[in-house]
Amino acid sequence: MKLEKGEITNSQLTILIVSFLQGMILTVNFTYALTRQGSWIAAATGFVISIPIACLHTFIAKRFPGQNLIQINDAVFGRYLGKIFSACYIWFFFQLVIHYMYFFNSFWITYIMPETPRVAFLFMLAFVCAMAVRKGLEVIARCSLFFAVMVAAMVVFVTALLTGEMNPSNLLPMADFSAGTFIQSVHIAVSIFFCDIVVFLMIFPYTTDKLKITKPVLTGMGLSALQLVVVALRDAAVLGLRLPIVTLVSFAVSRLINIANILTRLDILIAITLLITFFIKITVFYYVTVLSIAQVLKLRSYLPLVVPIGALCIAIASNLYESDMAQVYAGAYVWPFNAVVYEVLLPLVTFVVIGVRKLPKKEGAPAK
Amino acid sequence: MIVLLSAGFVILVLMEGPGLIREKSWRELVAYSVLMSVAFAVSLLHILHIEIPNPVRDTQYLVQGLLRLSYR
Repeated sequence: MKLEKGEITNSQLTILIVSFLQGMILTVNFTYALTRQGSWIAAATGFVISIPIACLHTFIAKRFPGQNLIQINDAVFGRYLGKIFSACYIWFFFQLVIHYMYFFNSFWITYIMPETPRVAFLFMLAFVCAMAVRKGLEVIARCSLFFAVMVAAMVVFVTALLTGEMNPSNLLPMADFSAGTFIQSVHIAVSIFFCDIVVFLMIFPYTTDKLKITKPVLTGMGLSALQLVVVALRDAAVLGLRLPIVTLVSFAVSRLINIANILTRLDILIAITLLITFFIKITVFYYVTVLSIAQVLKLRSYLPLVVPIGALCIAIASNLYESDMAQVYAGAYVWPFNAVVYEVLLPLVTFVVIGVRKLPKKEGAPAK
Repeated sequence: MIVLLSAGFVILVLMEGPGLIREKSWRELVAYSVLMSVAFAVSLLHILHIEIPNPVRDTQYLVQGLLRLSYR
């Protein structure tokens, strides 16, 4: 039984991917402490390395058109081992929901409303995300068009207003880091910025043209990478050597905008950007988590799982890290190793098994 | 706080549960009940300031403690 009745076009898929990946213009902070003014080089390199990984994901999806990740795991690894693989992916998607929820929450509590109880924003966020998840993929995709345009416009607007604050010499020294640091920064870019699109293996079967998904994926990634490079260059040109000592750089640079004492305090634009991008990001992960659990448990609908998973996310995300710096540390030193298992290693194993077993078997072929 | 939490969960169960029973969606009802119980238990422990398993700490232990994967 098909759990998701809706279907999105391939152009909607492109926009959804752009909107989904735009969150990286704020998580780019994880690389600033390492590669400083050269973070844009790490981001661009991460994008290039992510292309074959994204192609690996789309290859798997195209081998099993109309089947989602959970069904593919069952087909490739068998009923029992497939379930173990599926459980790993579900755990990964769930982790991403709570991590992004924590990031969102800590931002609002640290920068905007410090006196607010920790769970207040989480409640509101989870409520809105749950509503979007209950409405289904088509509604999420329709929202993403508006949000993607809005965030891109804000990036252009803030960058244009900051031109007066930019100093090209701040971009230098551009490569003042060791090879090891650069590799770590690229690793972060690959695992945190780009390759979480492995989640789309649960969404590809609900597109109109299931065999032409590589182009939308790469276009979406390219457009997001372009915005990321612009933001990284802008932040470096404005802050220069001060880049690694600021916690949320985009927010800090937007506070420097002052156009004739009239256009000031535009940091709220960054707050709105964070609100929008993280809403889409969390909604997609939340949607995929409940859809995957419903698929594994062979439920008729994923809707009954939306509320319990949301409640569980609030309870765990409210106290996930001891401090914001602990999250920055985890983002730079722990998460990239964890993420690469689900984003690269498991799909690679799937790819190898597909090749060895020559899957999918043609109908009528003798079973071995 | 515990009363507030319990009331919140009761309201949520009353919103979803009867519909599932009416539709005879037993499998969905079991999944819903189990997940809801876990969510309630975790929330309750959180309110009582009892330490619950933290995915971040576990992941960190796995990556840096057991597998010794680190850039440092």
